[in-house]
Amino acid sequence: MITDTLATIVGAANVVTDDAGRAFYSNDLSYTDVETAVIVVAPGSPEEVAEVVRVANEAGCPVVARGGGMSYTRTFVPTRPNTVLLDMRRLDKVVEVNTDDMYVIAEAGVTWEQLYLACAEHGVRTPFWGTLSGRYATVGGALSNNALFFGSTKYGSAAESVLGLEVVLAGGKTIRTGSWAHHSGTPFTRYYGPDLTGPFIADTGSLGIKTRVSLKLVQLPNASVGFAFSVPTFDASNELTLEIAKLGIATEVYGFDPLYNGVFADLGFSFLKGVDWTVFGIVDGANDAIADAGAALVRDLAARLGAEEIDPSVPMAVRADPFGAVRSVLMGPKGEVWMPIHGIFPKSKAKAAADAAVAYFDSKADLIAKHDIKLSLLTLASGTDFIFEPSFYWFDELGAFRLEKIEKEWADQWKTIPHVAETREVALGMRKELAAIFDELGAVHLQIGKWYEFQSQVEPAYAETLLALKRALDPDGLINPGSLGLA
Amino acid sequence: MITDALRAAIGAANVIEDAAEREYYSWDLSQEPLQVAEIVVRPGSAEELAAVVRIAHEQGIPVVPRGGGISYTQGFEPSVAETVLIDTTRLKTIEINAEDSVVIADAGVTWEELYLATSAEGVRTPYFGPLSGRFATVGGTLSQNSLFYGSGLYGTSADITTGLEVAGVDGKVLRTGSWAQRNGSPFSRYYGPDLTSLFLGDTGALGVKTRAALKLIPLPMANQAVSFAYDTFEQAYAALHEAAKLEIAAELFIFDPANHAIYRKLGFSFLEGVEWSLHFTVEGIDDAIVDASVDILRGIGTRAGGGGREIDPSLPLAMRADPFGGGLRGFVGSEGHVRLPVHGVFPFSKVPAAQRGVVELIARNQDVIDRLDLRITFLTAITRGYCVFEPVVWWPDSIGPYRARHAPEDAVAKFGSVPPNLEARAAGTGLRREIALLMSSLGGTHLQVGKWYPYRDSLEPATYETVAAVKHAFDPRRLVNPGSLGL
Repeated sequence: MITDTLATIVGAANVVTDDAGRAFYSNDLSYTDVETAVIVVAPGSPEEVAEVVRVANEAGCPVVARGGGMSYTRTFVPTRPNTVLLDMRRLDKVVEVNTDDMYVIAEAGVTWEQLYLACAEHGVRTPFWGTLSGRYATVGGALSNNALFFGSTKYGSAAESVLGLEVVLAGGKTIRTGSWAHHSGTPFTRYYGPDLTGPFIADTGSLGIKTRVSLKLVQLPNASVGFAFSVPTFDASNELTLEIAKLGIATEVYGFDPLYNGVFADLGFSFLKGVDWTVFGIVDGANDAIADAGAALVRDLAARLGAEEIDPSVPMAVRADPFGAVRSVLMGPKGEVWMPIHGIFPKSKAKAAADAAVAYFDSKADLIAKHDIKLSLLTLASGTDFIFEPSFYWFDELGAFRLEKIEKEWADQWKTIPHVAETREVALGMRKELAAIFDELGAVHLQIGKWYEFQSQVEPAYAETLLALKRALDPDGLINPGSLGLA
Repeated sequence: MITDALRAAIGAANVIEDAAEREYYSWDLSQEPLQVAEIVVRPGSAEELAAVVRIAHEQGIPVVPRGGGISYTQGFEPSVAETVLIDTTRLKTIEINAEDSVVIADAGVTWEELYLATSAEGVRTPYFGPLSGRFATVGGTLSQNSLFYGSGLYGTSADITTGLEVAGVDGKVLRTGSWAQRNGSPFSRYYGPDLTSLFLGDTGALGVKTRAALKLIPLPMANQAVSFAYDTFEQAYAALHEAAKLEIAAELFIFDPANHAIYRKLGFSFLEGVEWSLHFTVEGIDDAIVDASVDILRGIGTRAGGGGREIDPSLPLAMRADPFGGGLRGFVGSEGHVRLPVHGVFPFSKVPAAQRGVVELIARNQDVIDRLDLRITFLTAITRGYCVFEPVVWWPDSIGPYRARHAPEDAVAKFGSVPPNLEARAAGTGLRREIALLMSSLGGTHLQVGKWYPYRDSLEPATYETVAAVKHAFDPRRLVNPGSLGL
């Protein structure tokens, strides 16, 4: 039996075979139907991952890697019943923080919070340094899906902080990329001949299983200055966010909508009472003079665009406890489930995207009211790109995963919220329709997984090239089948 | 006949069969010529280029793309005589999209042309070209990777690329990243697996680039430079290493005593008595930020490595004033030497050992060097996060067809008819190769791998097999730049 062999590889204590356990690991947060993995294994080392993949693939079983489980796009959900699901969280070692050569090597199951703390001890951090869900989101999961937030305006997405990968390919062969593949090399640069790192980033696990990663390091800033502005409209918020981003000096710039400002007002940021649209962010610097000069430029720009400066304690509070807001990234303030969808646009399409979303919600106003669905419109600049993340909130059965991640007092209070089939169907349907509207406008996406349309959205030459690459790396289609629409 | 088909596709005037012309196009600066292409073609558009590739592929004839021609590593030298060499320098279109911070440039646009066109609109690519940017093209550079202007802050040419358009062997045109989205534009590299990466640094082995999308930033409003003198390389390097980790200088480099002798003759008299010099260029969007950054660098320069002496910064300022003029001097030395760089890309910590190794290697060969009038200079430069150590080997020799056409007129008049010095050439190319092997043995990687650097032998077999599998998937008949990367 393959399950016995796998248990021998990873240890019996690191195997889940019972129905409830397999179902728990096979589901993500998307409320969609899944196949349940035949077995869940938690390897403890890159070598064990390679051995699991070899044994599973030899038996014709697909393998799928699961990180922290915070996917909303079916990234790691199995599509075939004989799937071996790899829980990667035991690969939790920060292997090397190299402050001479400014890279860090971490195993794939290390969380962003763990990585940040390990690096900060040495006075350094990665350029992109985590998602708001970084208490649970892993390095491997984030690189497979790509991710945004801390550091993203200055340094871009998680993908742009990568220097090299160690990947287990179908059949169990391990490769390393970039300068890491040099027989006497270390992972300090991604570029040595064709960059093989790239295809494995944002592949949503379809081309191989990441076991270790090398990320770039930068010095921790010696000064950080927050800024906050109130603006009258959503368009003004997006314009200001993207113009600040173009200055190239802010580490994060993001926009809150009336719903979020209301939630934060209730949390004690009382100056946000009655404030509709806001733009927040941070300028970091190697010293006070640099950070102050940068913040002054941001303020000048905001004043020229007619924005009103307000108390900057929201961005400072977010920075003070960067990974503490798990509950608020998993659900709404009253125990609603939160379901995001995003589109990434160039600046020139920001207004069209914002208008389209608002018009769509207006057209659905009756349905939204009937089912008590709430909406938010969060925005972020990644580099100079417009990240637009509308979210749906509704009352639904929270499920084991969410209940496990939030504080017990809230879990106890909210665990009895029932599943209302029609409400869920309406909300999930709107999410799909909005994605199609974004795609029509030329949006791209992170975290494509098995949820965003991909094959139908890319030009045929791209789809053919990607398929040729998939066939070259995974001829039998045994690595996360269905991801990116690749069988 | 292929010639007829090519003439029909791109016009008879752009199909070159003249022997001397074919030799000019086929040989780079390495003084190690391979074959002379049977046909040289000069397509005038991306569409014509794709047609050329398709025609050659139908006839089973290899194609090799050529950019500005200033390769030192046989990047475009044909490995077989039956080759259609594609001169890309007639592809000159530039589309600037300042709103979305992206520029689309045809493969044949030079970095100087790109810099002039973008800066006229108040923007610039973050990395904005190699010292040889008067000749080097966008397409050639992305195939080979390169660094210098802006690299301290923004990295290499690979780091600023958001998308590529590539003519595959079947003449099908592939676009990558968000450019592949059916309604998209090339603003983001990341949309599913990053296929752009595969074509960066591939030395043209995986497809022929026709257009590239590069990031744009606002043109810096403030520029300063600061320079220091040290007694030894180790001292200068200690300061360089500390400063590089801060990522606040746009260019950071060390010149050696032999280089100073050259620059003294050019009028930089303050270099009299200077052994090793360290130079920083700082740019920013306002004076306050630039001033604060210069203060930090001044602190490092005068303290690290036992303390340097601040000197006149007019060398880096002169380079910035005429960024692509200085590179011309590199073609032929004032006494008729050809100059051939050879580099290793190293993590910061390994550079001192590499420098010592090369100095020892030179010492072991001192007799031959003296007898044949060989010379060696050193350039040490930073790109964001790591270092390129580049000895330049000089020897007296015939200047070859490329230098004869492009070197300054006075140099050509003086040295254009110097006969080959085969003994010096053998010693020079041999020394250069020994330096390359030494650097590779120390874990150094390489840009511009071409057909010259020991890429295959330096890679872990599993990774090389994967590169070969990708090549096979994209180019099963090995008709695109065969021999490149050892493929």
